[in-house]
Amino acid sequence: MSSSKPLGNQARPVLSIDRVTQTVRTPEPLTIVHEASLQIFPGEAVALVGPSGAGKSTLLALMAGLDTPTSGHIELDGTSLETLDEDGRAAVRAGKVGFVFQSFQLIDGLNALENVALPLELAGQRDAERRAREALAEVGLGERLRHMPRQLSGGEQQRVALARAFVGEPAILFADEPTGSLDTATGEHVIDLLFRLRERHHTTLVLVTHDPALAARCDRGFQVQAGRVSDWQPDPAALQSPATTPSGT
Amino acid sequence: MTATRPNTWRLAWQGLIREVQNGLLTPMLLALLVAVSAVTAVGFFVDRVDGAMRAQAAEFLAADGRVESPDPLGEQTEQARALDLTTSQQLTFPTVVVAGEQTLLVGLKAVDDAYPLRGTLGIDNGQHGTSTIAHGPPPGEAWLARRAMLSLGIGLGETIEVGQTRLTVSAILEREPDVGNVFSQAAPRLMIHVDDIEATGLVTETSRVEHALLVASDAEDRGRQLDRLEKQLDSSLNLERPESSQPAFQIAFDRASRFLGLAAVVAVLLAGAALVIAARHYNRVQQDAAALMRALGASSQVIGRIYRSRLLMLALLAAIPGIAIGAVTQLLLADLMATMLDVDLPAPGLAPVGMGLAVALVALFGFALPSLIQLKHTPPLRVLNHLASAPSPASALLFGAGVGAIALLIWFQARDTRLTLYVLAGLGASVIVFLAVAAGLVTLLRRWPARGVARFGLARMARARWVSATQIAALALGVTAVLLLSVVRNDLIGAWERQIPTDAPNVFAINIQPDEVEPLQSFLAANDVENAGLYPMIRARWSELNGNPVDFDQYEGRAHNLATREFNLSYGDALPGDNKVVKGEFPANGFSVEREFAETLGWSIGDALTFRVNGRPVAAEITSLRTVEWDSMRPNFFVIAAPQLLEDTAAQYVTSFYLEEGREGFQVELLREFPTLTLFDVSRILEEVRTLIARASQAVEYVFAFTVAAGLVVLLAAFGASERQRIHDAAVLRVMGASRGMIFRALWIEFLAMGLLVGLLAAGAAMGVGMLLSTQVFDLPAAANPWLLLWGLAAGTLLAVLVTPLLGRRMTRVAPAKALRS
Repeated sequence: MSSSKPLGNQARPVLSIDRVTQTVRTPEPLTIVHEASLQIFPGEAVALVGPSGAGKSTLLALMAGLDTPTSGHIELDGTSLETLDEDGRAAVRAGKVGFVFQSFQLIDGLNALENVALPLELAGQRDAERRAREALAEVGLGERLRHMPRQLSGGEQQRVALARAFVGEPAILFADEPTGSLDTATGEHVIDLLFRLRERHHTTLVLVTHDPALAARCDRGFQVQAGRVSDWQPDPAALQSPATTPSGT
Repeated sequence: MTATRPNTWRLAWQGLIREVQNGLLTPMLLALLVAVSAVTAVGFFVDRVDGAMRAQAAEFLAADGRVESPDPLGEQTEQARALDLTTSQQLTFPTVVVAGEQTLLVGLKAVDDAYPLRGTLGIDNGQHGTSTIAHGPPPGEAWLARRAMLSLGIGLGETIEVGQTRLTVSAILEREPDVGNVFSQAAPRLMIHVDDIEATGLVTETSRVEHALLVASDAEDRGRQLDRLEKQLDSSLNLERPESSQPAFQIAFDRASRFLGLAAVVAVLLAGAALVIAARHYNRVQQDAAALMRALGASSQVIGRIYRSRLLMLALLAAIPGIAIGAVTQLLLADLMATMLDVDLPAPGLAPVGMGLAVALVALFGFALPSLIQLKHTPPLRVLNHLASAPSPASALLFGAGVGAIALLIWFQARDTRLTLYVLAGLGASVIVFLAVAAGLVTLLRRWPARGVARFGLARMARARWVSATQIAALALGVTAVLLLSVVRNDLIGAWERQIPTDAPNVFAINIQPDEVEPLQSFLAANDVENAGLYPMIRARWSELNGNPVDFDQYEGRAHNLATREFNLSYGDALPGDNKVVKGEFPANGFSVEREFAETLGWSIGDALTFRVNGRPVAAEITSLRTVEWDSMRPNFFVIAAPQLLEDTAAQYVTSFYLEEGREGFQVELLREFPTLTLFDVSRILEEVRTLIARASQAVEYVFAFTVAAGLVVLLAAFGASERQRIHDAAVLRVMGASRGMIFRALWIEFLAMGLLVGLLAAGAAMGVGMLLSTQVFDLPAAANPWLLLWGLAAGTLLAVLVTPLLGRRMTRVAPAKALRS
């Protein structure tokens, strides 16, 4: 289990969702997230667990402001997301949110350094390149700055993605099945790095996984089952079992 | 840390360079390169050929512009000089010359030292046969037409009396550049220096003298100089330009420009089709990057700016080498042209460079931007869910931007509203028909119970009906263009050549007296010379319109000239061979007027016209409008009257006939038999027109190379867009045990089916558009070429032959495991 502890219910939550529902038309109306409510506090590492198709990734997209709920209230670091338009939510993401994806999501046409510098460049930061170099050095890729994504292994690509996620010092980091495309050993290595970086940067982490061993490294968790969210407590014993390589949601 | 606005130029440049390197932008870059090269090469080339043609046309005027007036043109000469135009003045009038006991009516032309400003004269001074010379006779000398010398019975070195002075005939005048209107020159030419005019005592205030001011300039903006002069001229004066001096030449000139313009337009439009396909593919590929940037906090404006900037950079990246390729190509073309036709092409202007840049921008922003700008609306959710994608661009936006870009591009090239509208309408109709027919045929294929490899081959086409239909429509468009420019071009040029056959009349005979009509016809027939018919010709002046005296001041420029000059009326109840009645009834009891002439003077059917003929009024209504083929070299008339109106009036007759090369001596025999006849040899004009046709045909062939290149880019864009998916599908099949041979066979079936569909559609469209172009734009007779169907199917098969091995190799070259991983 991580050494980071929740600050308790007295602290102001960095993320709060209240009775959030997401319904899509496919073409029959289908409710993917149903009346979900939860709070996440600064410095916490929180796991979202559940089987494939349960609605974990949809919930993550709503919490990160990548999508808007059909109903309910979402507040990220004091800002109500549902009151903002897409560009407003983009501005919130630019300042406060970091992402790590299962499929790395590096831009093929940019090298490692440019990929890491991208969020800083988009935010108009002048020292983007220097900070991107430092971030890549932090993940052990200081010598691979000019490599293109296709010239890097899967583990290296995910380390570049980690460097990109932390370079902007986000208040909260969303990781969606970060080991889903990696083999077990590489996956473990990447997760170690993720938790080390999170500790060093005091970043709140929301981790989507269906790997119990991975979830067990978090402070607490939520179970997502058929769109409904309930409290879930990580099992420290799971840490001893070998991690599996989930196939993603 | 300091935050400012994101440097979107830097982000745009980063992506651009990598995407050019990894080939993602190759189809767009190539399409732009071809469009810019085609436009610039044609621009430079047309500019130069146009210059050469104008220079040749200018020889018919002996100048770049000419003003004629019954009054002296001193003031206008000063105005022209103030505009930095070179000037030359001349006087023409009929007079009688005396040599010994003989007298002869001649058409005297007095010229100054500057004459001719363009072109040359041909004289025989008894030393080296006919030689070319760039000036007129010096003071004290006279140059006389051979016919006049024969009539006067004098030789070189002898003197003639011209009014009160005597001049030495120092050369026989064989050829002068500005012959003028053949019908207005009834007598043989005498050319003298303008300084001798005073001594002749022939020009007084009451003399009927025609003054002419000739102007020319070597400046780049010659056209504007002439425009300025034209504006300063009194409304009763008309500045005649080379292109309007000879109707036959003008028609040839117009058609040549249209052919060239059309060829370049087709290349650019094909490049546009390639851009549309490539941009849609680029949009699909870029959605992940756009979604990621959105997820990382980029606003839609930032994404929009990045892709707009990238397009701008791409335009420049293509325009610079494109212009260079265009410039080099036109050098090669000009060199070939000059060697083949023995002409010197003038240096090109810089306008094509600007046009190349403009075309790159218009094409990219018209054809590619509507697709790419949608990237700014890519939902950030796509980073988690690939089903989330950018909305398709609104059809109205795509359509509007595309049509706008096409219209602008055609206008850049052709500067012809009618051609622009026809191409737009043809293109629009073709695309709609192509899409509808292709979608229908693809649906039929889906229902076809194919088995084995054939089923897989056809399944891809049938699976994505509209994608396949779009691909087929784009390729059909490309093949249509190629067919239009190869097969239909030959048909059009053939029809044009047939219109001016090698045995088109090349000699006009005027001043034929009524009692000479029958003997002349017999004489011509006895000598195996076929004539174009003998027509009465009566001089008249227009005096009244609908019962009111004509207010000539209301007419300006050309209309004023036409209204005030003497009309050559004819009459008859048979329509001349190449005339067509377009409105009303012929002959009826009134006047039949040439349509464009009527439009110029604002006449319409039912208007009552009164002409003064030998002092008496001849009045009737306009009962029909006709079209006339002015380049047929047959006698033609603006106004033809019903016989009862004019048959009692004394008339002279006119005819034209064809005289083969080497039978020039027949003209002397004819004149001996009919001494009052006046003959005009127009074979030189005909020769110029034929040269022009040959040049236009050749030039279009060169420009055709760009069309083929543009067609290949369409092919690249169409198949490049689906290549990644095809490689993946082939890998899946190979994993399941399909051999490379099976994959190739499936591809052959797919592309043969597609090629044949494309060929069929293209042949039909080329046939339709070709007929539309020939009748509506080039004023040529319509003729459908049944061979087009065969050519279309052959082109479609060639498509399969070209694409299948290439794509098949790429699909099977990558190991299945690697293909699936990527």
